[in-house]
Amino acid sequence: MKFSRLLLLALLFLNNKALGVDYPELSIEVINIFMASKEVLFEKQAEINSANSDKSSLFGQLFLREIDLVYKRNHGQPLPKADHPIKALLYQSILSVMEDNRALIMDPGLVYKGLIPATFSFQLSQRFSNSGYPVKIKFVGLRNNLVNEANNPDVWEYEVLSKVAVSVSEDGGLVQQVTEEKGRSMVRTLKPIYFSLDCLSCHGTVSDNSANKFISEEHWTLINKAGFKMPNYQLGDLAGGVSLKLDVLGIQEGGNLELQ
Amino acid sequence: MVILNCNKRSLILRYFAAYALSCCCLILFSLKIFAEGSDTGRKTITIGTYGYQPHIKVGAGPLQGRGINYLSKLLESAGYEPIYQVVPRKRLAQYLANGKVDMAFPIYEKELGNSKQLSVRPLLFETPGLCFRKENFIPFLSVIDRWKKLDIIYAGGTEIIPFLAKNNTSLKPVFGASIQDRLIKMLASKRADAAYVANVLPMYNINSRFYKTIACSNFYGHSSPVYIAMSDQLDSSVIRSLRKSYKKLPHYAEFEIENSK
Repeated sequence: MKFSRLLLLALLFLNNKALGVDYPELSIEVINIFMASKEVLFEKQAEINSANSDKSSLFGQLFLREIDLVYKRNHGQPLPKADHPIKALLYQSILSVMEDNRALIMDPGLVYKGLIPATFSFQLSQRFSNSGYPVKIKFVGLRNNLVNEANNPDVWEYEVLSKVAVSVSEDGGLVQQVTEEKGRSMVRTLKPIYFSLDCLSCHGTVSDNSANKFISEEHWTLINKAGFKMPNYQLGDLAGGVSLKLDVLGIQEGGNLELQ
Repeated sequence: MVILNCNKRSLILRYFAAYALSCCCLILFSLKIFAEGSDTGRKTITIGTYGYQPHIKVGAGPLQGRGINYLSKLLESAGYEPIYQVVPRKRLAQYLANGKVDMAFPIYEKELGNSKQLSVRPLLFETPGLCFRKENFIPFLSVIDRWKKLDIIYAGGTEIIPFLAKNNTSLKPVFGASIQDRLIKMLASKRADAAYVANVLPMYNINSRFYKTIACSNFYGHSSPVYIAMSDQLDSSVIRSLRKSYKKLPHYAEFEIENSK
């Protein structure tokens, strides 16, 4: 009798713990970590492309420390702990992507490595989303203005981005919604991204093109460093968004997280 | 007992020597019994594999590489002794299906069949890409215009991703022994503009012998997951114990990072 009571209490405690996960909040945290890592990559461009500087801060725990600094700057608090498998997976994925690029980053024979926030984000979203966990993250662009076809928004993302594009909200409003997919509840989150000055060096006008740096105006090119035509975006234009989809049931079942 | 030409002192020494010798024999015998006992007490698991750089290195001596370190750690922590069996690449999945090996690595999604994955999460991903001479490096393969007219070579028999096949009509297969070396030689001597490889990592990593000559870009979005698989003929308790051991270990991605320091 005493044992069964203890067992019941333990089950209730565990159940509450499981139900206690705030999925919308978790989604926002995951997106913020994703964005902070992308920002670090932007700030580290000189280090990435240099031939012989110390690059140790681009790998392992030192890289996470850099993300922590940016996260603190953006959100006034330290980088969240890996206290949920989804967050742990994201941290592992970030480190793995940097490790995958070690040969490129360390290559003294390349003047321009091409490891930019866009390629980093794409690799990270692939690594994170293909890990067998019931969670997907991706950078979504605007239809008709896609640099990478894989960034094509789905129906929900397209609708959200269309509304955001015509909204007057200046706060860059994050959108969250619970949707149904094949009878399962999905917590969906989309954080819009707007072009900053840094972004315009590849996505702005011909005068913003970083490939034209130190070149006289008559020799300017419309083609950016990535090889695309400069798309003439202006500061503050909508660039797209970071979209996250959590399969709540899949996470609660636990079976999807790991085989028994 | 008759002892000839022997005084009392030498007799004591002889007794002592005989006693010491007996003790040594007893200790050695005990150690042998103990060692045999531990050998037979530990169950073995046969892992089928093949040369899979940089994870599995097949050479003259024992197998090496991060994959071997990881698999050994995984099995030992579950209480098993790993026995590695090098199997031809094309037969590995078949060996696993027939139970000729208990586990196999690397196994691709399409090869899984009835065998059991060690984990839902793939151990690693393979990404195809194009390798260039460093001076002609193209960092973004999403810019099709940059490579659609290039002369691209590849190892004959390699599966080409549809994205590349659709956008380049100058793909040429190369056949023969030491195919990777041939591809890189052709590239270095400017007999080709780029070489397509199904998996970039073995060609382009800081320890690769080609690192000084080439640089490679990946076709992101075309990665394939790679698994450790277990035979479905393996006892379910063994499968459970291996999965339990897997959960306790850091994931291979972290394990790789730890080992690359």
